[in-house]
Amino acid sequence: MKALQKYKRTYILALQNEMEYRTDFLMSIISGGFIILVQCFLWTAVFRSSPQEIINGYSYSQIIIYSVLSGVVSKLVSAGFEGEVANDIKTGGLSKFIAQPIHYFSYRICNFFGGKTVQTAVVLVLFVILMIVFTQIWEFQLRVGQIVLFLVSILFGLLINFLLFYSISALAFIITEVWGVFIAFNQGVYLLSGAIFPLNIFGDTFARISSYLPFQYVVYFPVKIINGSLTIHEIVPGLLLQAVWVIVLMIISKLSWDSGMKKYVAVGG
Amino acid sequence: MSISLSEIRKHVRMFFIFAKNSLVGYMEYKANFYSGLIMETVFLLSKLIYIVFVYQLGIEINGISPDQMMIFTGTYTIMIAIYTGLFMDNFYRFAGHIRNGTLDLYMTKPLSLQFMISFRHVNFAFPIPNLIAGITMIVLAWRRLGIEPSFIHLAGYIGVILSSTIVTYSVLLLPQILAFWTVKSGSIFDILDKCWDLNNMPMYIYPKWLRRIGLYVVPILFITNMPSVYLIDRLDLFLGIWIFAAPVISLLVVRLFWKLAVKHYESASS
Repeated sequence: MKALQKYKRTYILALQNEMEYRTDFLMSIISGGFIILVQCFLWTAVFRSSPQEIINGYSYSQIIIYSVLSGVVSKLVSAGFEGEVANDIKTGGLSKFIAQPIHYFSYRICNFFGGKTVQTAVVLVLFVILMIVFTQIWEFQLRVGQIVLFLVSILFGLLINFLLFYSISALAFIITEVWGVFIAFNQGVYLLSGAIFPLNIFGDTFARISSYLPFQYVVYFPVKIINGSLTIHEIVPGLLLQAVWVIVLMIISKLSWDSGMKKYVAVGG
Repeated sequence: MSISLSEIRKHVRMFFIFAKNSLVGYMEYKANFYSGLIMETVFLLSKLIYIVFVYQLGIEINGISPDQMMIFTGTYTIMIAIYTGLFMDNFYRFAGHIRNGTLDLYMTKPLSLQFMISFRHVNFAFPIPNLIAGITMIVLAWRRLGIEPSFIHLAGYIGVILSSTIVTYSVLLLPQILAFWTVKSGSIFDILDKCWDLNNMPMYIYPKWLRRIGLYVVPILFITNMPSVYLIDRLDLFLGIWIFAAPVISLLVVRLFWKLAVKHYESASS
């Protein structure tokens, strides 16, 4: 039990730290709002110009809800610790984790979820406001079950994104100037997770390819649960696949870190 | 404020020395160059996804055909190349100069302070993928739309790009100047900075009020729309005059604001 104390402390520290910067997170959602705005105007113009009422399987209200929520969810699940990890590796900060009885992976994940707890609270408030607005404008029904499943999928999404970035951060063992790769990866995940456009609007082939990748389970899948375009028979297998991806990515991150640690020479520090 | 020819010549010469310095920096730290290149290529892809979407849809959106849309996206990409190449590195460092006191050092140099702040660094990595993709898109769309490849068209387009470059400089420097008061880079100018995203799509998808604000009040929409509007023949007399007036007015505003801010400056760090 005592062993868990240090991780609890890490979690609380990260939580307190994030509490300090909660307005910053809110601001980052607002500044990210411009791209959501572009998206909404684009879809409005598209629906106005098109004779059809359903485009690529989405009605107007569904696509607007998708655009707004995908923007918010992608901000919530974003990782952002990969730079710190790279810095630990580059400057030798990792050495203290080797010498001390604290596991780096556990430290990182507690740190990540500590920060995310506060962010989730901010997002939930925002989410309630948005849902009230949406249900007022459109005939949009929201069931309790749907919300629960959405929250579960968000939790899995957070885990998947954490593991993706934790795995990729092991690249810092071989590349010293790794920041460009990280930002590129971040943007790549953003794109493939469906944060910009729903993934199925680029045709069946693209949708099929992305269904074999973990990225769509970060944003696309959770948001589709909440905007009502998935039935329960589609949601349950999706959640199971999310769980499978969590396990697969855990193995990948373990492998990548094990091989990275062999290269680690503890420069600096 | 007297501007003599020799002063201008000195500044131009210094700009090339700064550019050379930056290039030498990239040659020394090649990894930085490649990192930047990879990163910008992925960003470019996420911008191109919009044009893929528009072609996939295959309809005119608010009267803009997919080919015309490509003119907009191409111009946007070229403007990103110009912004990231010339201004971005300098603007992002600006608040740091105030915080760390390097601004004091720059003040003692026999060059215009605003010039030093604006042009000290040139980025060579980011513009490369954007320039290639942007020019390719413009050439492709130009051919598909059957626009006559005359000298007038080309010179006109480059002229409007120049005008847009000046507007870009002014509009994006303006929020940075706020750092004279706030010292650290805050969310306010992060938000203003993000306004840039509005250029992702042609202004015709926006409602009239937003278009007006974006063209005449904070001319952020001017940047990619004007050169494209010129090419697809949607220019009216008023917009034609605005192409000449906007860069002059915005540059004047930013210059005056700069002077006001410098007067206010009282060296934060030391």
